[in-house]
Amino acid sequence: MTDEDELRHVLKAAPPEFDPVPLSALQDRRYNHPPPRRVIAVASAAVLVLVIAAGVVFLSRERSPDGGGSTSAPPYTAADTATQNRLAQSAPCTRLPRDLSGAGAIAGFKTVAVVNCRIAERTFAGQGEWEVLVRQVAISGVPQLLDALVEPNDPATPNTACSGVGYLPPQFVLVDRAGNYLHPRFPTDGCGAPKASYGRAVKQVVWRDVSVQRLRQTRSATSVASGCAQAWKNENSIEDSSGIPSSAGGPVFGSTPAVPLKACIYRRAGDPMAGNLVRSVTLKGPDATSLRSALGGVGPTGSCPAQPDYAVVFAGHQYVNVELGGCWRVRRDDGGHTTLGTADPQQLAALLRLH
Amino acid sequence: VEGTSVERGTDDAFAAFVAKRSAALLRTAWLLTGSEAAAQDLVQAALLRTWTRWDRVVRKDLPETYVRKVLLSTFLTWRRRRWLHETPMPDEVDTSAPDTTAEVELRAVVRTVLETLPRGQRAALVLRFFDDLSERDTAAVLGCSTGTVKSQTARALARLRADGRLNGLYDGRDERVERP
Repeated sequence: MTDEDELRHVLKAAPPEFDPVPLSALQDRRYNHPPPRRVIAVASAAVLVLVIAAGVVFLSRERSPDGGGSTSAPPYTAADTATQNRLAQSAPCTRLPRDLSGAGAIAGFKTVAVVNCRIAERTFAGQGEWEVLVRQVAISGVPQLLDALVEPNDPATPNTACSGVGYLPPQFVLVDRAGNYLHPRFPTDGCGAPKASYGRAVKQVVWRDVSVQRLRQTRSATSVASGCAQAWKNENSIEDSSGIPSSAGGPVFGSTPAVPLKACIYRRAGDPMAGNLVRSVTLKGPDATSLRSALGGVGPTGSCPAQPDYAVVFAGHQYVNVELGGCWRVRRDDGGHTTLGTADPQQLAALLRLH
Repeated sequence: VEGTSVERGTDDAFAAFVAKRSAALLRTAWLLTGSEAAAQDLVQAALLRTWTRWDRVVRKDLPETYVRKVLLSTFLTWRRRRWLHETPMPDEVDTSAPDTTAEVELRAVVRTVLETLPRGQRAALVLRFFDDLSERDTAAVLGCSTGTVKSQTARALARLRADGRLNGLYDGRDERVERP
């Protein structure tokens, strides 16, 4: 092999085509695999020295952080509400910690508050929907939770089919009176999954919200008020339209009875694929009928460049995608088949108040 | 508590990223691992690790870069596990299929040849010639110097030249390679 370009071509041609992975596959994929291997905690000193000398990290990531053995949780004394609130504000709210503490560390830690940080979505009147960081403190169930956290990990069960579910570590932290905190690990069963006792203990914890911090807006007030999605992709531009049969024309939503139509109007800006909601228009009665007709032109001819402005017109759960410019392409459904039609620019402009 | 498992704490951006990029990542992973099952495991591991940092990754607008780094670092540090010898079969194997002899043969040759390379060289080769990264970007992904990338790539190319089995596999017509 002397030609790098040739190698490039060979490498690009070799891998099989894969379908995109649906998120559910990440969660649910099952393996016929034995459980993760545990590194034997008791290694001979000589081997350990050799390993360290060689600079090799030999500790499996699946190794029990507490090294096995049972411990007991120290008595829990909750700080007063004001102190807990203060501690909650200073607790780290990274969603996923890097270093998790095992049973031994937890048993030696004087917890006075358990603080949970969760990301949620909240709607604020007239200000849209926001992703928020909610800080919470546990107000009940903490002793049981601490007891569950100091349980040792079960040894790996050999030759067992284990679920391939990926578990994220606990999202809460244990805080002591000085504001020190621990990210606890959860005790695992033979397959590396959280122990049932831990799951029960977590479910029994009652949380009180301490603060809500806005992180980013996920939907504008317009989107919330109109019911239109904040962003929508222009299907006429993201998919190749060349193979789509032309529509013979006729009002869209043919068999659907007369219902109000909602047009969500989008404009593509930074994102090359999805446009952001600009505004919405709802049409009823004769106007809705006119809009159905205005969207019912026959298929376009010639090349149709993608347009930055487009609308998605809904009749209940059905919708058509119409470009507001260029060929005024309408991507519609004709009896279960996607076809490409066109819209009447003048009628559409009047009905959707485009100017 | 939210986020105990992926399915509880998921968000749309991550789901969209997985949907958009997973197929390409699987192809990269296939070149690194040489098998579809191992590629799926590698990508799954990389995506799960990316998920655990998703907020930070998205804030820096670096999901592509980050997941590639994770993919490569996971690959380079992956310990050989017993279960890699076990390949789950799909439910239905007794179905007709078009003749893909050429592709299968190409895959077999590429896989066999790449397996002769040390992981570091294979990683450098895949990033440079499959993902088309520059030497600098490859170094950034692998966490090494550009000099190391150069030397790893040069050694890999030398081995491939000496091996000779990839010679003439590309006929110059398109991305798909005809049977040699």
